[in-house]
Amino acid sequence: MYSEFDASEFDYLNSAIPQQFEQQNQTQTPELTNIERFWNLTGNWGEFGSYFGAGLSASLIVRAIPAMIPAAVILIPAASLGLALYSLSAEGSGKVRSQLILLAVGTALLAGNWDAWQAWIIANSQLLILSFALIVITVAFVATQVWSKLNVSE
Amino acid sequence: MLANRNQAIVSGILSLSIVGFAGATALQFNDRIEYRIGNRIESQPAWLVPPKAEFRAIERGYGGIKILLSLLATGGMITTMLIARREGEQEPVRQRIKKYQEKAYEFGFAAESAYQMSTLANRYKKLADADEVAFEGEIEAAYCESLGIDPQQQQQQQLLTGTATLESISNPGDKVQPSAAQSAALEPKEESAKLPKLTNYPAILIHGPQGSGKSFLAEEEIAQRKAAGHKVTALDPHAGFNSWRDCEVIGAGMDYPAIDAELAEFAAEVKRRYERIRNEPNPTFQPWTFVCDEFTNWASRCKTSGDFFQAALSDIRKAKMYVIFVSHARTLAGLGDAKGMAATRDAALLEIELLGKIDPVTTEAVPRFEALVKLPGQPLSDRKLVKLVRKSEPKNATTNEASDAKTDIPSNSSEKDYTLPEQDSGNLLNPCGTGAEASEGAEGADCAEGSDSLLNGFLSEILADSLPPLFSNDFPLKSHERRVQLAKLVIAQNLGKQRTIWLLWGVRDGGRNHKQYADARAMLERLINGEE
Repeated sequence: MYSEFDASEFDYLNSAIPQQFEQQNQTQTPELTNIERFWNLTGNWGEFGSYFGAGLSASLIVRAIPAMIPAAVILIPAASLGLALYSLSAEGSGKVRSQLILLAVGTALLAGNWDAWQAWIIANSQLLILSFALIVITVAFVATQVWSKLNVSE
Repeated sequence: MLANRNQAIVSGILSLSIVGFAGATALQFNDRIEYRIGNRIESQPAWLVPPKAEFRAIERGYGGIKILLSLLATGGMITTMLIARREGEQEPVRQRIKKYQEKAYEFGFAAESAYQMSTLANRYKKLADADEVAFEGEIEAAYCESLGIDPQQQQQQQLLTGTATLESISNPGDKVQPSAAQSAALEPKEESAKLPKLTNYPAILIHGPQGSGKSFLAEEEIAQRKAAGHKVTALDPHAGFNSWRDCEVIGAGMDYPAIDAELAEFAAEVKRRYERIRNEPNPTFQPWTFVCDEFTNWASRCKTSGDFFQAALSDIRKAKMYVIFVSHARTLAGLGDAKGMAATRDAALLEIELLGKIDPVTTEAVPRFEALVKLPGQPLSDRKLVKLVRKSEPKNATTNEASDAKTDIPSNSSEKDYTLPEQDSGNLLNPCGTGAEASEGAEGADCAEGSDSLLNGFLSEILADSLPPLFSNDFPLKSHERRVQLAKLVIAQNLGKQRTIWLLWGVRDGGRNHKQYADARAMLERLINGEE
């Protein structure tokens, strides 16, 4: 059945300044609703996808036009380095956005060109193995030297 | 559950874009050559094939498709991001608007409740006043007794007793005759706004829902105009046999071409009259009224209906031509599809909107005897509510015909084969024949309210829910004692307390009416116990 009508809950409507009316309502709804969460999530994934797609499209177009490969080989690492430095120095949304771009473009270059990376690895397998061995040997040597210096017996 | 349509769209685009990226990523870009070298069979891009290899086959790459898919998916992602960001900004605003709307609804509900409580309080105050009047009556009776006069005997002289009939006790000299011009079947009550004299307006629109009495009002107006010397032509595609008595009827049997031709004749007549006005010093014309019934249907069937409507609103006043439109609506589509004529319609038409209601017993549409009247040029919001009262007699009211003989109602009005739906049920507003409503002030002494048949007539109307609550101010029977008698008749029907209280005081149980309902129940108990 009906509940007793309590007019006091409408007292704020009688306030003299319109802003009071606005403010009261704004402070009453601080929490996010589900639909707002949905739009935030979708917007963030859409932004990531946009950067990913831009990186992927650019890399594929460069592969289709071999004359562009030298320029890309110079420009992409340079831009990545600049963006990485910026992400270290920036604050707030700029930092997050630059990290997002690095992550998305990096993922796109690796995942979207897996066949090229595969072919490159096979073509340079001997060089890669030698480099890997040198790195391992160097690191092992340095580590043992440091370890021995740190553990000099009294 | 989706909150709005864009959620589905964005979800779909996002899914398609992900599928596009998956395709663009999974496919290989370059052609691959399958070759044999030594005992091994390998497959590599062309630039990795050793010079000494033996060619075996070629596998085509999908570079073009990969680029296309990648671009499409990127576009999808950008679209998703833009829509989602925009919706994310708008959503809090939407929610605030929704909250304001909810508050406004609650506030409106509160205002409505307050209004109802105020109205009820007013009604109870009037009831209290009525009780006071009754109390004064008792004092008067005591005073009569002190003088040796029997007040009961005095009162009974005014009532029907034994075999006395209405005619035997009524004094013809007491009857109040209506004024000469007021012979229409429907006319305003004296205490409310009045219906203007319709012949002063060249173009009139009578509209309203089915069963609200449009055609009836039009016919009564025609009767007056014919008496005033008008030539009347009725354009009615649905005219029945012998309807529009004494009028020229055009278009019966849905003969729209004939109506179209008559509209052309109307235009020609207007032109002829204006030519006479130009050429003669003081030409006289017979007034000519066109009645356009079922005008709603003409738009798509009569080519000239729009032009006719326009001419009727602008060209006919000086030519003594008159038009009465009868339609279901006042929209331009319902008025001959007269596009672009809204301002002219508002400025030139006298509009009478008749109100109807649903009869709770028969579930048929019946008139409410109320009309909203908009004078030409008046805004729609300034329409006046005019209460209408039936004055013409139902076709079976033969006993009243003799007493009506002196009125100005045209003689054919009681012979017509149409009646307003409520006319056969009790004849409440005219229980004693002509002039009953005009002599309302003298009802304390009138003959009608004392008769059992009258009370029974009221009773049937009350039980049919076609009258306001018995103890409300609007109830046609004004005498408190008679109301009490009638209330006892209602109680004797054993309808249950709730229904009885509803019929007597118009209050239902529950909610904010609890106090009023409790009061009404107490009064009902008093009535049942024989107290008044």
